[in-house]
Amino acid sequence: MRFLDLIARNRGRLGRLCRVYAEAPADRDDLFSEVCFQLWRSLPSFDGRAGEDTWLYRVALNTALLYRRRELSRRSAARAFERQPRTAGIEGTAAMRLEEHEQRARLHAAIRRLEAGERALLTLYLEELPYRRIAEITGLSEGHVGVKLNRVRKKLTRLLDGEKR
Amino acid sequence: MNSEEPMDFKEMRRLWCRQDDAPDDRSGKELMMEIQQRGAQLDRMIFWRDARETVAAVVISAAAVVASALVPGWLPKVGALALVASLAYICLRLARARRRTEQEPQPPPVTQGLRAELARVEAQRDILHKSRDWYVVPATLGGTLWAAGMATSLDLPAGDALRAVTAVLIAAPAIFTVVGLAVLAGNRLAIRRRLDPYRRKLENLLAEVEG
Repeated sequence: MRFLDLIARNRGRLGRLCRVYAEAPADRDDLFSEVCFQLWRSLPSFDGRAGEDTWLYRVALNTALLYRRRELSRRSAARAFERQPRTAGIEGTAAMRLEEHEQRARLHAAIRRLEAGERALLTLYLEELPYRRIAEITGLSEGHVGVKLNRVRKKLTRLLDGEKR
Repeated sequence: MNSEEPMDFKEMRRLWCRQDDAPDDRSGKELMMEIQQRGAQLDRMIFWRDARETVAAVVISAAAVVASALVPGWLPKVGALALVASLAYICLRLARARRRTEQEPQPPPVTQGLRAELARVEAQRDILHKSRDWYVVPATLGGTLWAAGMATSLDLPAGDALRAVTAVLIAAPAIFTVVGLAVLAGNRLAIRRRLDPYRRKLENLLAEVEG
């Protein structure tokens, strides 16, 4: 119960992180399952020292960074194909949501062109985590996080500008 | 503390956090079933890996012990003991390497996790590279001694016995060397095809995060 409550509370952020590291819906589902599996394995040893956010992101990122696409069963691929994410299905959506959807698609396309390690830092930043928390999760110093993020943000801006053209 | 940032990044963060791409149609029960399946898969993988490594050693040891027990003389038994000892040493080395490469209980920070994984890969490469020392040589020595012991136990005239032992002392190391070279070649291939690309990936990831 405790574990399922944890997953329910953090489903959104885990889903967003999985999307960064797995483009195809079937791979995203697979990665999400793998992250949940690793969280399950890690839960007994979680002593609360690091804080739930830090623990969760450490497990999720360590898993996502080393994720390798598996040969998925036809069943899991079909299930992923059938599932429609809430951001899809734009028929009848207001102009604002359509624009938001397009902006998000451009953002994801740009993020995919970053290196895997850069994506990790950027994801934590976009999740509105403070630098101190990002430092705890990544093992970098707070100053180093600031410098790295500055570089990654500039790179992302260049990629987004390139996307616009 | 996050200092003032360009407006577009503030908006970008809001845009980011508003999205909801969670696989939201899986119930808790379905998710737990998948987790349990993955756990079972992992257990099976570990089981078969351990079984592969020990079954061969146990079968060869048992065969050597039984064969040496059926013939008179102490030398075959000493040889069997040497072979069993060398196989036990091999299993011990593998078990020690596995304990060293087991996952840490606490999830480490990302950079530490990558370094730990890199250390695991290096440890595996080290084991495979040094397989000549801890695998091929002990097995060759133990196997040769056992074969020589079996040869001396044959009830042959003195000259024939000498020739038999000589033949065994030449043939046994040669056979074990050929087998050993095949094992070494297999290990080098595993390093080149699997471990080295993975090591490069880890090094790149570490550079990207720390860079």
